[in-house]
Amino acid sequence: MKNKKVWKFLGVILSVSMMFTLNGCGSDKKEKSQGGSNTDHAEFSWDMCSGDTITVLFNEHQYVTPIIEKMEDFEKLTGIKVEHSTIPESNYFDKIGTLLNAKSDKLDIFMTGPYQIWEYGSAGYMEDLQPYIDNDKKTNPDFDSDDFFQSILDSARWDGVEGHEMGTGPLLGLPMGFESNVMIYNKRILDEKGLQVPKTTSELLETARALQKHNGENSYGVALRGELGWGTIITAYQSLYKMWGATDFEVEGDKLVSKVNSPEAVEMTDWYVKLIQEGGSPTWASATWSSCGGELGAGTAAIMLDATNNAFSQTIPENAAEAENLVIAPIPLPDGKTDADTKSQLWTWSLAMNSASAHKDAAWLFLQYFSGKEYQNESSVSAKIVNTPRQSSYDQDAYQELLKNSEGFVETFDATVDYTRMYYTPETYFFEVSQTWCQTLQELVEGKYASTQEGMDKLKEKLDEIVSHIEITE
Amino acid sequence: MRGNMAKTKQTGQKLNKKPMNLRLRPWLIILPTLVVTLGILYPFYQAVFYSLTDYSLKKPVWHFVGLKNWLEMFKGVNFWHSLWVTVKYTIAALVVEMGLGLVIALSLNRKDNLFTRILKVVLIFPLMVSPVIATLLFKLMTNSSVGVVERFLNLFGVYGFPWTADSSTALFSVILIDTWVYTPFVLLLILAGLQGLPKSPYESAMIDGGSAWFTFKTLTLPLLKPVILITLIFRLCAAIQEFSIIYSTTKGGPGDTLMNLSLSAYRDAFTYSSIGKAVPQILVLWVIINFISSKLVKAWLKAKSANNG
Repeated sequence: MKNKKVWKFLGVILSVSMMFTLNGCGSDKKEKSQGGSNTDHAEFSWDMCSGDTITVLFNEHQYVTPIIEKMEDFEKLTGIKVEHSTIPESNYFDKIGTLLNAKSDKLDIFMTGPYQIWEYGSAGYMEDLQPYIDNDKKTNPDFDSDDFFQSILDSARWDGVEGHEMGTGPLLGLPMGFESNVMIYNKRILDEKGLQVPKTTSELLETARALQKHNGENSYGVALRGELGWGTIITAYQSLYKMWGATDFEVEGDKLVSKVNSPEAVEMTDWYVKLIQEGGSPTWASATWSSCGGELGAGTAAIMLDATNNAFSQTIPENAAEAENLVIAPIPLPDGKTDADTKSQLWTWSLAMNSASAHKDAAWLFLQYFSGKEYQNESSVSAKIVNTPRQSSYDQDAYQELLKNSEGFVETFDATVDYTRMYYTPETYFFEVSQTWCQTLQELVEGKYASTQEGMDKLKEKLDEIVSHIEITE
Repeated sequence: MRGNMAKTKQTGQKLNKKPMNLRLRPWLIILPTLVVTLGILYPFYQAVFYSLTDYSLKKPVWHFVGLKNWLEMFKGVNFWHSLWVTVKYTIAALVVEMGLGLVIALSLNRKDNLFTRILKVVLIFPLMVSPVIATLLFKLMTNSSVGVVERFLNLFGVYGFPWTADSSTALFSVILIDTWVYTPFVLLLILAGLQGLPKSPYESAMIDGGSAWFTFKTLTLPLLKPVILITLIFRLCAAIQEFSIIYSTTKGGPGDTLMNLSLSAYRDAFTYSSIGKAVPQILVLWVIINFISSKLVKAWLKAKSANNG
């Protein structure tokens, strides 16, 4: 009898907790404020949301330091209190994804990249910022959205249809800075070895081979990212993959179909594997962007293919012993290709607004202040932001002066900026696809397949399975 | 007559009825335990619940999918591979750490002088370092440009040892870090156990002329068995769930060499945003730990009662 009562009691507790669980996930809470307006001002004023408190979650990044330094100025100007915290990148998106999915109004502003936009944007977690820009009452007349480099602003604009390129649809973020992919080499080491700067991929492979053990047993030719994760695929590898003429997916009917085993893809990957095996680091599979940059800066590696920010930071004397010997250049072209075939994969850090935010107008003031001309012009120089997303910031004398300290940077920027964009096909399984791709690349480097063709055929099967859940609807 | 009987019954019931505070007392006594138990059970209940859904951080809505996630997990090669990695890692970590911890504890227990007293303190240092920090230290020490270990190996003609960057050396490397961090824990417990052993059986063995090996085999080991088993339970639970060391070094790579169940579940949950696919792996891990731990606890109770005579 007593046991029955206990079981009844436990049953009630579990039923109640189940109700909480059912409510907690999957329920569509009503948004507390609309994207339009919850303030009724005749004209724009920085203090129109005075008294509001917003929450901002930053990723630990160099772009964030000047924002935190200017936070007090923003609070004084607007009367808005900003509660912010910074999380290391390794856990940043775990936290953001969880908060957005829970439709938490404890998060107003967050940082994002284009790949995350595909997940968050298609799920409706991100606020469309275009209506705010178009609203004179909410946006400072000096904001000037046309001042952003068009291709960079477009990398935050997506219509939410998988397989569709970015550049159309809602504007889901405002760029803080962007990165393309470049080559950076140590001219001292190349000169000492009597080697020319490689202009083609064949020359790069030969040069990297010749530079193995250039300064003792631990030194090597070319530093490339290799750690398991999407960063390895989406930087130098993806830029070269596209230059080779290979493609990741194609839309066939209402499905995405992987093309990673096409002749171009196999040829490119085969070359890349050789570059790592014969001219790369023996610890390539654990190489991160920071370890690549560090080894180039220390002179252990003679060449690096990586993002501009990583390359640029090594040319600053206080950051690297070899800074003054480093020169930035475009990534070499595959044999037979011309300058018109140049492609550089884009990465953008943007500030975005949670669509479940309860303080959207205050959040918008934060967004426009920290992506506005005044802030961008100042921070691009003070924090050495490479690359600034605004034309006016780039054109400043002080910024140009800063870039000139890095040999070859301006020439490389001018040669590649028109070819820098998102080349990867937008789809919501990006992280699963890129991790699986990286896993195969690591296995190919270790020689676990009889041939690159075999590895890429198996990869195609896996990728087709991963994206088989996608149904493209116009 | 009937009326009187009913009145007497009611009065009797009133007399038998205990005051409210007495009747509630047993419930109040077990209430904290009940709350804690429910607090412990709730995440498991929630995990089971999510394992039956397609809950994903990528979608604002979810649906019940029955046993689909479970069936896909058991059918897929990734799960069996991750299980195998988990088993390999656990066995390697336990064998090395238990063996090393026991040997060091026995040697430290033999003599009590200033040197052993300093060693007892120093050897426990790694226990105060978080596994993630230990991993960062390891990465620095093995770095090909500035690493102390790398430089040391260079003296013997070994250059560019791949450590975690090659599948043939990756497991060895992470076990090395695990051993550095957790052997002091084993050492600490076993040393405490050794120091608590009764003196008289050893004195008798010495009078009877028993050899060191004989004393160890017939006295120390059986008397120490409960402590060894408890240490084993603690280490087993941690090693089987290992996450931080592998994640900080290789994130499960190269390829899927170190993708154990914890990392595989984390990857599915947070990199692929698929909670529904991640939780069955965690539940399998929980079942395995629960099963092995209960067996070890039984063995511990048996060893304890045997020692008590």
